[in-house]
Amino acid sequence: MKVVITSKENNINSLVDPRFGRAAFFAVYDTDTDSIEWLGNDVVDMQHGAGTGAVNLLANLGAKKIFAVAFGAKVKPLLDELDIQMVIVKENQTVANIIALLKK
Amino acid sequence: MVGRPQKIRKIAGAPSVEGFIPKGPRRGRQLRGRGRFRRHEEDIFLLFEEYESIRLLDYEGLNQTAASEQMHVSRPTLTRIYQRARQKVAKAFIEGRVIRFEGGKVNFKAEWYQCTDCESIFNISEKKQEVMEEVMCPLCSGSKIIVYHAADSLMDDE
Repeated sequence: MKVVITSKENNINSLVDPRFGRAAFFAVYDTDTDSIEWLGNDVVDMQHGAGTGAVNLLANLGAKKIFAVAFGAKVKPLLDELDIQMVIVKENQTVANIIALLKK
Repeated sequence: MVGRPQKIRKIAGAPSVEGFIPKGPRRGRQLRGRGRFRRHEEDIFLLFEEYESIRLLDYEGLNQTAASEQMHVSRPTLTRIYQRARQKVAKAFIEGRVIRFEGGKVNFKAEWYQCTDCESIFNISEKKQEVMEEVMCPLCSGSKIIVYHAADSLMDDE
């Protein structure tokens, strides 16, 4: 199963990015193969629709869960529709930390 | 003319049991099946929304305005729901009938949960809630999960 973690940088020791739509990177972690793919978020410069754009991007990848510190109000109905689970995690932890918890 | 469709009533959760059975033999005739909870045409069906109105008004002690806000219906609608609920409960009491919690146009409000181990907060879609037996933390797989009440404050306006 593919899950997504927002990330400030494109490495595993980066902190999770507190914003969902405007996160710098998305770590797409595949729980079956234990592999990570890094996606730069090219909607960062957009004035509007960063969240919805990110949802489209990640839904196309087949992500089932998204780990972020905060989600925008427009994102929730979209994710509900797509049956993608939102998980709000605590700030100030690394991507590696999240993945370690996932493996538990 | 077709009537306006009912608004969806929000309720906090399903009742903890399926219903209630009157105790003891009925005067003049035998109570059906010992301890069994078989469907019967004389059963009283208390809708989930009616159950919720009793829970909010009589159990939680809210006033009708506050309760109607909780259920996302107008105050007069809440009053009508509550009236039906009391009529049904009274009928079941007096006539010694089975009460069965069932049906109604409702939407379970608890969508957000929190894991007490890793403190992450997560939602569970309605579709999933129907098939799920136990809630598990999507992050740490912990099983100590509580309903997260301040969910309205979660979404910031982007």
